[in-house]
Amino acid sequence: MALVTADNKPIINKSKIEVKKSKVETPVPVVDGIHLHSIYNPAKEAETFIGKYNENLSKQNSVLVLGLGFGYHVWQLESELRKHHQTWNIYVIEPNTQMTEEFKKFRPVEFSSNTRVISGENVSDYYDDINLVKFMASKPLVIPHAASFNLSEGFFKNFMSYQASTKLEDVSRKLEDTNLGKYLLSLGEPDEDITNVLRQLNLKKYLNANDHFLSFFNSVTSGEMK
Amino acid sequence: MNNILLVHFKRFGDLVSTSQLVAGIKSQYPHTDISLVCFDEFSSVAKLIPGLKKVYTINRESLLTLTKGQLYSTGFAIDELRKKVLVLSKESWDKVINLSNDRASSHFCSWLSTSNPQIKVKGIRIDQHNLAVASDFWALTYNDILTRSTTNSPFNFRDIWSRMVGVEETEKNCLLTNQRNEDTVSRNFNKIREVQGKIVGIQVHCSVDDKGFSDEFSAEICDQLSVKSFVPILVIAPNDVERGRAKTIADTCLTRPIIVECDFTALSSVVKNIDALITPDTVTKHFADAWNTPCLEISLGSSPTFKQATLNPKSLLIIPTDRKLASVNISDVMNALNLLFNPNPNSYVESNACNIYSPVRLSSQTVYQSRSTKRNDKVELDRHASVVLLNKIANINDTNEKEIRTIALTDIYDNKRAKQWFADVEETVTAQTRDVLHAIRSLLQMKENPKKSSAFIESLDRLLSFTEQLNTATISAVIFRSKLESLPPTTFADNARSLEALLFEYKANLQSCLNLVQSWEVELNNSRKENRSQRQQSI
Repeated sequence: MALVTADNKPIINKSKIEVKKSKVETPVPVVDGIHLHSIYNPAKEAETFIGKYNENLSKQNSVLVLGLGFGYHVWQLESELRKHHQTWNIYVIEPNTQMTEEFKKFRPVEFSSNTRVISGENVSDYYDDINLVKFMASKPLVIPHAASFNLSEGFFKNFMSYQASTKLEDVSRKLEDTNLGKYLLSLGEPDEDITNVLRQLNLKKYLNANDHFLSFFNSVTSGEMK
Repeated sequence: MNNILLVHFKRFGDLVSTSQLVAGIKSQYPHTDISLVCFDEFSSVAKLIPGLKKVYTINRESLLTLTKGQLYSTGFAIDELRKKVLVLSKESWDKVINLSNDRASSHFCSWLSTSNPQIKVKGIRIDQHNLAVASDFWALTYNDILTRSTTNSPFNFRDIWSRMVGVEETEKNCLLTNQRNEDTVSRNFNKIREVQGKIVGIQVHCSVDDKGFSDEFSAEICDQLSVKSFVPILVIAPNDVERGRAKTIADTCLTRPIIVECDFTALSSVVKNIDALITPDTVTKHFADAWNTPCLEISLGSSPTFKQATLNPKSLLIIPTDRKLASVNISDVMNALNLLFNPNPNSYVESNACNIYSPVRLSSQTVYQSRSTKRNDKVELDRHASVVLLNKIANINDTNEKEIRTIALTDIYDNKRAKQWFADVEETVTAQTRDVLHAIRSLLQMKENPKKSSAFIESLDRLLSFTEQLNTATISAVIFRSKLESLPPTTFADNARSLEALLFEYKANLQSCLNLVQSWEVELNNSRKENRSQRQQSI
């Protein structure tokens, strides 16, 4: 049985993955009787599916794909992006690690180095990855693969509405510069909001180099320079 | 000066204005390396400034996305900024010059100088006591006087920069162009000029609505220019909004104007090759100044006018008294344009709703001379006297007093109002002097008996209340306040000594102000007497 969210959407459907052959002899994963791609011609179906995004893809070269399945749609997406752009970036999010394993086993399509597949069940782990964070911050075009999305709708909703912790403790831990992280943590209570901690720097009676740097950061990002 | 970093977190226009300063430093110190750090979103113009060794950028938009977006941890944004600025801290800067004087730049400069105490900071920095500290008198003027003067600033910020840095600006070839653009523009414009007449650019769009022209206004100017055998061209940036506006204007005009769509690199060539530019307070005006192209600047709405007006002596400035575009008649614009193309120091423009000014270059500064027949004497006297007073307080060798006084006292329109200004300044200065003396007395009493602090605090309050307004009479109070606020927290005895010194300095500045105003009043009276006697003799 799949775990569900409050509104009864499955977080990740982990039912056994069955792999069938399509009419054109390509593998198609099936979960709880649901075919993740066309049982007739997955590549053709992917072409029609990606075709709906043609106009957006001519302007956007960063695409976030929600759901891997067996990747036919991602492969088609790559060939469409290749027509419009010299470089592009695709991130594929697949919460079901078993699906990723099956994909690797069958290898129905090969992706270029511009495509990165990330798999895992824990949403916050994704947002620990600075490369994915930078990619998300570039406001990519989001393409949900409907069949995969529906299987893990709860996960994808959590993924897209994730709220990073603003607690001083969590923010400090994210810093690569651990000395600065420790210093930042010393400026307030562990569960204090980072915005408040940075704002309080204005009231400090004595400033060191770290305080100047953090005050600089706060001035640039607090909107006072608009 | 060997290795200099200019810190500049302002927008396009201010960045373009840095070009003359860079040229000035390079001309005076040819072996100096100058780099600049700015926000990524404005760096396209920074790259047009010749003489910069390197332009470092900080991607503010990315930092804002990472900070404001709920998906991401603020930690990533802190890390990103950290990596960017660590690169800068590894350079061996001799001097860091803060040209933007905001909180961000001041903390940044302080961070650099705390990390490397060899670095000298020019401009404002925040010291270890979290106090804003000015490196010198001109940095203080930039931070505390220019920021408080909305429309009637005594100085243009470029003059303050060059004084702060200690160099004379250079005003020739201060921007880069692309050779292909340059060839195309100059060839095409020369052809047009030969056949049709002088080319006048009109800046169509302004990012701040109340500072910009309406489409109707631009269309009317185009029509009038065509009637007078000028060739109007509409200057726009390559985006849909400006394209749409240019089309609307062109469709309304009786004779269709040329539309020139250009990015900043092409704009440099366009502005260089036109005969004049009519513009509100936009970045294009600063391009015109960099190329010495005469411009007719119409200062509207929230524009800080003299603080960042055109400095080109061949340009003119139109300021409607209510700062609204509706008050600018096309005839005012055309009359001013006529004066711009036929400069005559004795010509004035008649206008009921606008004041017209021309920049006058004196040694190391520019002042704005009224070219209106009906000027506001109180405003003019106050602005000019403020300039001389600041020069005197700064103790610079050439205060330009004679030249500025001549500009201020010539062509007084309303003698009664002028006299009232003298009386008002003298009265305010006298009141302050009384309070300063009282403050000094009560400070001395407090030194003997620290419990007697209330009288001192009261007189200090009275003195600080003079800083609510900024004019010739209160400049000394503003300087006093600024220095008072920068006093580090020390022992009572040290503080009392510093306070006493500041109060005596304040008193001396008030005396300078009084001497200045009284000498100008005498000068004015003498010249009027002389005029009267000349008239009687002729009768």
